Amino acid sequence: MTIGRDTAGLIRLSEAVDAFLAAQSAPPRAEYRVRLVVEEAVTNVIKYAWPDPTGACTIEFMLSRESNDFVVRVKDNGVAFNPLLAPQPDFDTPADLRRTGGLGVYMVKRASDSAAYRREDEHNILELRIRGDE
Amino acid sequence: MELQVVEQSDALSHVALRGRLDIKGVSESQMKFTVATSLRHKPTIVDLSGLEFIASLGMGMLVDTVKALKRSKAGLVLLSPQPMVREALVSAHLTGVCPIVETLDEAKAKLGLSQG
Repeated sequence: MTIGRDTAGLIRLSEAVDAFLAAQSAPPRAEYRVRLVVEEAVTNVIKYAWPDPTGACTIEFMLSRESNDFVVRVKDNGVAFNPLLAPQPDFDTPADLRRTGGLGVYMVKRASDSAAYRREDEHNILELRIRGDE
Repeated sequence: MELQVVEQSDALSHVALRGRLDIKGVSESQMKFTVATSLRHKPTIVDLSGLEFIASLGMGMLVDTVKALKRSKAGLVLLSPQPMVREALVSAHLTGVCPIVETLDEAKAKLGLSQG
């Protein structure tokens, strides 16, 4: 599924993810984690991948089941950015005093059993795996 | 995303969130939530027992409410979240400013309100 950098696209995407997870009879915990990483990863791309948008901004999204794992792939044509290298939020500072940013990526890393990033042909490609048996 | 206003009194704001606090849920409920909570400047209980999902945008909505209420010296307490929502809130280190309790009496006590 391909969407643009608008929240309406993410909402359509979420509905498609819901349908897929239901068809796969995903266990509740896996379902929550998949929804979370999709929401956070795609929101992060929408917010930050195109600081000065010119031309088409596209996000290619794929969700599949491989062996028992759910595999999320997010590919965008935005600026080069590896979210896996982003620093985590400053949890020593109370949440209401903390600088905003970083929480979504932190939650992606925490909710995924494995995560990999590569830059290929002017695209960011993020692949996340979530175990589907819990 | 459904927001129910449980109580709006001189002592307390009490709302319940049901459904999913994802990007769609936040966009649907944020204004109504703000009106029912931070704009009232009262100690606030947010019942999460019917909330199935929360992501960072939803957490940001809660933290923004905490910040606004703090200016009025009012607190916010989260009531009885479901296990995976609770886990998400704990992993995001939010419970320091959004404490979690299990009963309404605990919530009122946490906010310094008399029970009953």
